[in-house]
Amino acid sequence: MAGPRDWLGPAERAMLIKDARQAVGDKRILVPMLVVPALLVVLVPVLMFVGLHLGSEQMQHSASGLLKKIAELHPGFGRSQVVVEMVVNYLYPAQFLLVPVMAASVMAASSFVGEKEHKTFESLLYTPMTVGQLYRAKVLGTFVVAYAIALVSFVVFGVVIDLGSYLEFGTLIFPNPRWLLLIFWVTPAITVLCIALMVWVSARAQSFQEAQQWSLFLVLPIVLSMIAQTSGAVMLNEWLLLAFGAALYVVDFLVLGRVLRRVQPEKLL
Amino acid sequence: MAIQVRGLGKTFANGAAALQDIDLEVAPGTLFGLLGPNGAGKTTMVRVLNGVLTASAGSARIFGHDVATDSIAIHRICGVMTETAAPYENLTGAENLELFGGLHGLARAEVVARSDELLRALDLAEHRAKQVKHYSTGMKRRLLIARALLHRPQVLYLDEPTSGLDPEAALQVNQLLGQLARRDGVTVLLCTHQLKYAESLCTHFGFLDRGRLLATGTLAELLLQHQEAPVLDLRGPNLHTYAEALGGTWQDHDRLSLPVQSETEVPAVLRRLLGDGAEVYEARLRQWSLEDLYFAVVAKQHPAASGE
Ligand SMILES: Nc1ncnc2c1ncn2[C@@H]1O[C@H](COP(=O)(O)OP(=O)(O)OP(=O)(O)O)[C@@H](O)[C@H]1O
Ligand SMILES: [Mg+2]
Repeated sequence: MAGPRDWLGPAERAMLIKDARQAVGDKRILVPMLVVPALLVVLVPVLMFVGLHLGSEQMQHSASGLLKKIAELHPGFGRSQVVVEMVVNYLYPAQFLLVPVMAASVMAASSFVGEKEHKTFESLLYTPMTVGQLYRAKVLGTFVVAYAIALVSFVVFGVVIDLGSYLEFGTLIFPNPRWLLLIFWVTPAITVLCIALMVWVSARAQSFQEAQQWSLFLVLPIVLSMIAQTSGAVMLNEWLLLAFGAALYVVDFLVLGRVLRRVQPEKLL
Repeated sequence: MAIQVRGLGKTFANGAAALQDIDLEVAPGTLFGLLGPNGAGKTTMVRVLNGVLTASAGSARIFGHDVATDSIAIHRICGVMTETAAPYENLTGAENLELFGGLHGLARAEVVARSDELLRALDLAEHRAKQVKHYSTGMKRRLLIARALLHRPQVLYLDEPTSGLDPEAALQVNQLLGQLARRDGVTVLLCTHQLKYAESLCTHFGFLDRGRLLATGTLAELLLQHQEAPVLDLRGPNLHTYAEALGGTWQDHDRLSLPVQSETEVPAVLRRLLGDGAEVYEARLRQWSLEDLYFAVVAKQHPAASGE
């Protein structure tokens, strides 16, 4: 396997800068990467606090089973505080994972399938980089960008939540161990999985759009887990996150290793 | 040898034999024109010689490096421009060069200096900060040439470098290539189906047709190999009376064409004709052009295809 120096040589850095520049220069990539996080971490939480403040009952009805369980766990909480606890620490963690999944899949689709679609990959094959180095540079570049977006989203989400919570209840509730686990343990793992999936897809899909559709394979389980959580059937906790992350790392290790070992550059020409 | 190819073949997975049993040697500093019609296998040849496609038979060495096992060393000393390796449209011209400078391991300052030099030489300096998607076809092509030259390659592969260029830009590119070959000793393999263009630029030629290399050499060598003697065209009112005796052909009511062994034979032929009372208004020795030769060679290969 490659040492750290192979991962971040000047050639890899040049590739990373190029992939990032290309993403910024292409609306098809930039827009979904910015809009999804903006909706998830700013708009929806703000609407929640505004709704609570105005006394909307709708949200409380939609998840009454879960709400009851949380109220039992926190006997000292008022009604609004239970709702915030439910949204922030039970419903939102899974939803938040859509940010890295979206960012990684868009970025990776552009970095791998985009090269094929625009007939640019061949030019990379004429450079003194091995195919392995090229792929590693691309995986790393995609990871850096996607994870950076997730980190920024995490911080922005935290600010919005703390601001709302402070104004409503006079307390700060973010970050907490659950969210720290989510961003530093689970998010990197799911980002890598998403990139590995896209590398695999890149040998098959002919266009960026087509590759994008494959990311549904990762979005779907997230949505399902959100539904499971909303129904109160499963209760999210730190142990669950720890185990989930660990399982993801094992899958990452197997899938990414396998995918990178089997790259066929002729499939990208 | 800069390029040494032995029994090279490439058959694609779908059974298409794009290259068959190619033998080729190109000396350093040669401007070699690889000529062939669409689908002849020119682009495939460039890809195989750079290890981007693996050969299915034979071997090839570039300055001693085997293309099958040593492609990274080859990429360090070779520059490639093919129309199948497009530039990044969302990056500017300068950013494209910056990426490839980085991938070739050049220092940043060197990339900047070299990009400047090449962009100026190829008349792209004022477009350097424009995204490539706003370039014209000819500008893109010139950018690809700049990209291929960035790391000062010893061997340069150019696949149709001047198609889509206006005459002025084409001339500029030709001068650049001539200079690279003569002054810097760069070996150039130029693929094209524009025979006149190749003839004006290259010193050595290879005719590629349906994956086979039919002939190679300088124009003089090729003419000799195929024993295509020059033709003496004579014009005059009574020359038809000499046609049979000299083995010539009479055309257009006033023109006699005589095959001659070489130009040194011409004075003797003229002396004899004039001594015999022929009235010669005009005499001109016509060499076979590359195009004449190309069609003669290809026609020999496919008698059925050469209708006329
Ligand atoms: N990836 C591929 N798979 C199958 N066949 C291919 C592939 N690439 C090229 N060929 C076939 O190989 C032959 C040579 O193609 P190539 O592109 O090398 O020709 P060329 O001389 O460059 O033509 P042109 O002047 O049109 O560029 C053609 O018959 C083509 O159909
Ligand atoms: Mg071609």
